Amino acid sequence: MLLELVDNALVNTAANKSLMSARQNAYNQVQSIPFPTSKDEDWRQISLKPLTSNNFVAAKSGDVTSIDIKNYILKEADASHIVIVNGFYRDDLSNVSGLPEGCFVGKLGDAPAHVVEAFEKHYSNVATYKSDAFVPFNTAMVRETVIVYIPKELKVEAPLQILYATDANENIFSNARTFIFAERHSDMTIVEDFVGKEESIYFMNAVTETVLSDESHVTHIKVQRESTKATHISRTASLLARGSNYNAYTISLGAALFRNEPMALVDSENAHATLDGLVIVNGNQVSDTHSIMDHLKENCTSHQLHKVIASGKGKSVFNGKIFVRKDSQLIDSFQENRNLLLSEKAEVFTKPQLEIFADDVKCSHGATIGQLSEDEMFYLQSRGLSKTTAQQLLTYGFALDVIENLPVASLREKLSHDVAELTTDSDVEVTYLES
Amino acid sequence: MLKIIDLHATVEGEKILKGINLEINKGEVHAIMGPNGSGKSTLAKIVAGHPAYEVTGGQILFEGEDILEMDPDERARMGIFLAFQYPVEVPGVSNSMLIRQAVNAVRSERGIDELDPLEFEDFIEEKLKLVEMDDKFLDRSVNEGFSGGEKKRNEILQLASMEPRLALMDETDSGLDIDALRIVSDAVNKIRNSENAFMLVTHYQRILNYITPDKVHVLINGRIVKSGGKELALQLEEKGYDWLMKDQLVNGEA
Ligand SMILES: Nc1ncnc2c1ncn2[C@@H]1O[C@H](COP(=O)(O)OP(=O)(O)OP(=O)(O)O)[C@@H](O)[C@H]1O
Ligand SMILES: [Mg+2]
Repeated sequence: MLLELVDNALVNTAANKSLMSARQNAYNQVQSIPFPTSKDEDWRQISLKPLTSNNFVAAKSGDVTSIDIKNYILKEADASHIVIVNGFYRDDLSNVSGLPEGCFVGKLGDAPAHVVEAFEKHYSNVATYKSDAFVPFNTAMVRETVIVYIPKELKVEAPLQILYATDANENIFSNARTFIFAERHSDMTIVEDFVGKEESIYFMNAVTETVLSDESHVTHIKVQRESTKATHISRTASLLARGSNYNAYTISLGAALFRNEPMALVDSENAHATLDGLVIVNGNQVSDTHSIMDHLKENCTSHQLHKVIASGKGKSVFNGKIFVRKDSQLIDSFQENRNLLLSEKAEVFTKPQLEIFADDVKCSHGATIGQLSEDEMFYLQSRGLSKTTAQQLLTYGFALDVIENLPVASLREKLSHDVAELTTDSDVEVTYLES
Repeated sequence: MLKIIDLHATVEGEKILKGINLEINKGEVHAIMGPNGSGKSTLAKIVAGHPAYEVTGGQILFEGEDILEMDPDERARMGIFLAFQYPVEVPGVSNSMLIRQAVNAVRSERGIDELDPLEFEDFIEEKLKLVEMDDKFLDRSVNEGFSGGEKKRNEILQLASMEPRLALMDETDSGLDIDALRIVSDAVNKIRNSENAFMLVTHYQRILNYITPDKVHVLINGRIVKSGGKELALQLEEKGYDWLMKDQLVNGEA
């Protein structure tokens, strides 16, 4: 399928020589790596039919025809946002005037030499997913990579929002690519936000690479609120240097079918990675998260709380791999997958997968699948709250420990609202856990 | 106000209540005492509408209306309030959010304007004073990490806020220290008036020194085996339940 869409003419439009060779390489990989089928262990529980049965075409323009971009811009990112529509970079809709000097956010062609250097060194070397054609497809075909460069010892106060919007009248596919480089002791919050025209069918293939230098802090929030008919495939890979702190929160509410593959390569001592997630599936939505937390050096900590709310006929798959390599002693790693099933027809699959080769480590992991508690429901109803309101509050409460960590107030507010709305559809038939 | 007629109930197939008759009129306070596991909490929860208990016979009338088919929230909006023996922790839901929604639910039922967040602040400040509670408890998740006594006091804060017509207080006194017991009792005495009523489940005479009951009932093995005035509580404190259990056996066999 990717093979049919990959286009050599576009591959050859690179802004720089090393990018050109990365694209050529990727092009070759797309030719040789087979498209996944349900026979592949990692793709067993979902069907990629929405991808193969639609005839996706390349987007012709980045024109906005039906969605209200302004409406999506976070208050805090008023002067720190980039807008990409259908894969086309929209300078005119972007505004990064609020970012401090030295911080670069933009296209490769506009980047200063030291930013280009960091880019050339790491681009495509972080998102190293094995036997995977989606990242190469992205590398070969993406029109523009959004580059985020945070200079050393700078704490950027305003969050940066990168809005990837899809707005077309045809079934288009597009690629989103973000490259984040945090210099020593820098600190920044980045929100990647995926939105689309309501009810429209499209394919979004997103790749983000984050490189953290020593002692840098990056909070990386990915919000997926695509059209409920879209397919969204996403890889977010990060490489952590000594003492760095990477906190990623992946919030997925939209799309008919989505796959997230967060990966943290904790490749130096004293680093910390968080890969938290909140998934809400309703109707016939299918969610698949395959994550990798890889500890390669000593003295590191990691945290992964993956929460799922499944209602209607929604389906969620979670496969969380944790590796602790041979020489990485004194690792403290936490993983928990909690699933709230709000209907009898919703399905949840969970598979924590620990591979530990070091002996002095602390790894805790757990998975729970449950319904709303009857006692909690009764307590709230005995306070006069209707059944619907009680359900809403409890579901919101369930989602809260992911949402409350997001350091952007307007986003927290927006998401809590969305959570309440998504979980009170009339087709939600709630069953309770007997106490 | 509340009339319970020959109430039978089971939980998971097991008979817990075996023919309860009880009438509480407005303005009255009734104490329910009895050994562990006798069915006191079950009675309170059934009046409040807990779905786990199945009523297999009898009636519960509230203000003359049969409430057995009503959901717990409907009953609450009609003015029935249960202060839980074991208040439930609700992670992620703030106490103030819950209490505001609760207050507005009963207000709208009563045809009174709902309180907006600012008005609620003034409203709740009064109630906090009444139970001498710090306002920091408002921002915390409902009961989460509260000490035993704090949970109980939070129940009374909710009671005071919802201004019920019938308050069922299930062992509110257990877990309260001496000062807290006095504060909570004072609050109840202030709330108490000729239009509302209280059913107070307790194991101890202590709280009844503060809140004088009009009637005391002894519930043993799913039945009210003895009713009397406040002096009955003193008698129980002295003699325990043994003498009544014997009676009950005789009755049971007769
Ligand atoms: N949900 C339930 N499932 C199974 N058994 C129950 C349930 N609720 C109550 N019971 C049983 O019913 C009986 C009465 O319980 P209840 O809680 O009403 O007693 P109580 O009089 O309030 O006791 P205590 O003084 O200890 O609070 C007990 O034997 C208890 O184990
Ligand atoms: Mg009890």
